[in-house]
Amino acid sequence: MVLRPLLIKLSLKALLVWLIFSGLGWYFQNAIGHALLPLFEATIRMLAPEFGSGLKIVTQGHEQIIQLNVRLLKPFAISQQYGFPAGKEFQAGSHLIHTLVPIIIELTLLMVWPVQTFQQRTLLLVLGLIFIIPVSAAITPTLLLGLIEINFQETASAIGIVRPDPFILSWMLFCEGGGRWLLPVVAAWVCIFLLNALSRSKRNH
Amino acid sequence: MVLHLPPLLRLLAFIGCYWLLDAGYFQVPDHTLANTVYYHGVTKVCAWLINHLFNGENVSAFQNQLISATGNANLQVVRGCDGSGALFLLLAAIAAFPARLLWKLKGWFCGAVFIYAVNLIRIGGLYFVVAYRPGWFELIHVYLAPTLIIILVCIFYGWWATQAQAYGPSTAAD
Repeated sequence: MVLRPLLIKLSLKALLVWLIFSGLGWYFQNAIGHALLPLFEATIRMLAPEFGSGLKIVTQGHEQIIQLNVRLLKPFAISQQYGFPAGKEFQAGSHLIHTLVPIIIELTLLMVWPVQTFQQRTLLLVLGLIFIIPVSAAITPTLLLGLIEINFQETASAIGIVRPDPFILSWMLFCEGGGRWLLPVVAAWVCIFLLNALSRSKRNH
Repeated sequence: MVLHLPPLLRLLAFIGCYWLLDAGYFQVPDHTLANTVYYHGVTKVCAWLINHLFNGENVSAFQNQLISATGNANLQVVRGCDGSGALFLLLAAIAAFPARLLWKLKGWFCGAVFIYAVNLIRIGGLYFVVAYRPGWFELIHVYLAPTLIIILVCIFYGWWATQAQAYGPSTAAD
């Protein structure tokens, strides 16, 4: 089999890097979570201006949870006859380590991708860190808002109303089904593409 | 014939294939997945494997659930916990790669078998975690297992793509 030694080396490296990043992510989850909170809050405010929202990290047992508290700023209609009054509050939460999944995947792929120089690896990781921002913003805030939307869907269902899925809920289901993995893989691919383009451009000058 | 797409179009093809597979998956009703697919394809097989490999576990499959005889574990397999996300990623990545059809067919088949086996191990492992170390469940279920499976999928893809390029020159016609 061609290139077997290289493939074996890369495979083992991938597993080792995954193990190290997973350990670091678990150990520093609180710090990473707090660093990401402003990004998540800004994204939630942008996606759902009808909510007054607050985001915090709480401890439940041994687990850290990102908890979203929202308050309706104006009445929210489920149907013509039924709705929630302004001021009504809802809560949603997600495991903090769940938030780290796309970060671990993206950084592991970028750390393992074969490059020729240390500068290329550094550039790749810098690009990766930049891309973590849109990837994380696309996943966790929509998960939390999607959980709030599920409240509305359940209320509608309980009173016999078929309410079409809002985009946030569809996107959340997409992400939870595997989009959470697709996005970091795509982000890593784009980082590698950009690195190759930059390296070509550098060679040509 | 091999279709050579520019890199960005290949990326779009990858995303598009993934999206189509995911959209198709969401057309399958929950009860069909739970009562038929997960029962015959996952929980029954997992229970059989556990009972044969670990005498005395006495685990049984009921619809989409793995239930221990002692009652200390009840693991439910639900939509999304079936390895479909990882499978769709791999199928889409293989579809978008410029390789001969025969190599793609080999990749799809071997990839599906690989992910199915990895997922059975994951679910069997989660059963033991629920039964004996319930405090570890969230860490493994929402963090370690998903990331490891995607890294394993990427490793599989790396092996397949290297072989597909080396043994199935993409310039040749099928």
